[in-house]
Amino acid sequence: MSLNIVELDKFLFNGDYGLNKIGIGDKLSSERLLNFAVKYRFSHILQRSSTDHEKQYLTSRIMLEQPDLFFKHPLSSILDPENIKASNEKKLSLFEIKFKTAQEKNMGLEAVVDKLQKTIKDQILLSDIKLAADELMCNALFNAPYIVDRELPDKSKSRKVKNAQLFIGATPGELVIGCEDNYGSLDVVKLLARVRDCFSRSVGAGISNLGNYGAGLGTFMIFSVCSSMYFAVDKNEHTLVCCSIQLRPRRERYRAFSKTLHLIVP
Amino acid sequence: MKSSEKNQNDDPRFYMESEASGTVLKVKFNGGITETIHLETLNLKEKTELVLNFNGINYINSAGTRRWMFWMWNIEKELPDLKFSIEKCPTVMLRQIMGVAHFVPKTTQIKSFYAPFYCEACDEDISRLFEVKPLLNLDDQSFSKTISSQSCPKCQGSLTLGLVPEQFNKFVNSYKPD
Repeated sequence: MSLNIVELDKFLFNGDYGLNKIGIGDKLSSERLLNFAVKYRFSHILQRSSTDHEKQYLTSRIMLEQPDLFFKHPLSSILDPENIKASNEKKLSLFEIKFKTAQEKNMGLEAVVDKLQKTIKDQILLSDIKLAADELMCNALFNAPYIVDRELPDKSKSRKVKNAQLFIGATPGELVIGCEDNYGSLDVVKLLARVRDCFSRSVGAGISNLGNYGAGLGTFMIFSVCSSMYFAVDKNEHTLVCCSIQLRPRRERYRAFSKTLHLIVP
Repeated sequence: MKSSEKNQNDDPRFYMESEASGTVLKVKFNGGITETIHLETLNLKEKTELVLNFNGINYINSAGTRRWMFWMWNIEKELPDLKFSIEKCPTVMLRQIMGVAHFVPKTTQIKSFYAPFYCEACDEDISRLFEVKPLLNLDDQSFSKTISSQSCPKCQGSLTLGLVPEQFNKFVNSYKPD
């Protein structure tokens, strides 16, 4: 499969969408980055200004050429894409937990903090990791089955609550938090449109218009604290959402214009 | 006359300590703002000013943000003349104020906040409390100098601000007089 790479700095829309393409830009704001995914349907948006540009490119290739491998070994696909195998996946893994109730979610979050606070002393970083885990778990627990329920032809049928899994892995410089559910119901583009609107309009307006659900606020908050996000949907089978947070050097965590985005959408 | 009370919530790690002094109500929040909290228990009847002390808040998620914002909107609707101010705003709340429009009412006065810094050499995180009032009188250059002149208590090297600079400058400028 030949890779289709598009320079986003010179991009002019001619009716040709970016599905299965890698768009490469530089110093794109979060709003512009999300717009390339939402409006022009790019599957991967990379930034030359990110410190791990080469690694990001390799992960994009894996997701485009071998999506099953990404679903099977997400940690090594993101953290060490030159060495994707079960043994490396195990080596990179720090934590995993299965959950299917709100109570299990809260216990899981406490376990995450307990586990990580032994090595991470930065309280803001710890709070960011907890936030990302919390929001990913909430999406899997409340939003994924809600979407399935809404689409059920027979509303009287009660949905079967399925297990979801949270996992965390790390290298010395980067930490990945991922969550997988067995619904495969996430409409990624719709969600990212809401996140983009949180940046371009205001989150407050989003919440007031959309009520309790669906403002994209949780994903907006993850997007604000992470450097990259990965969405992979195998329709009606499973949804995998991961985000990565830079640990070293610290200044990378405070750069607003080097975020990247990767999608596998049906 | 002063009176004080403690409001416990579903999650015992979150509680509010309120102290009324005449028509001013001071509330100190402690713990994490999540889906389990109940903010409506505060009695704001006949109050003209609400002072929010965020010093004890260590976490906020999206469900907590929604609860907080609905609470704020309801107060604004019911008591349009109530004045809001914030004291000792920690980084987790500062980022919400900077990133989430209408997280607090437009007229809210931020009196003091903790800015996060780090020392790359010592691998240490250091929080510094800033009073907003003296910052408001500074021009942009003096403001940048005040913020960037923070030094590490260990190695005396300069500290780096642990926030996105563009967002932070926008935040402080929004409190400068026109």
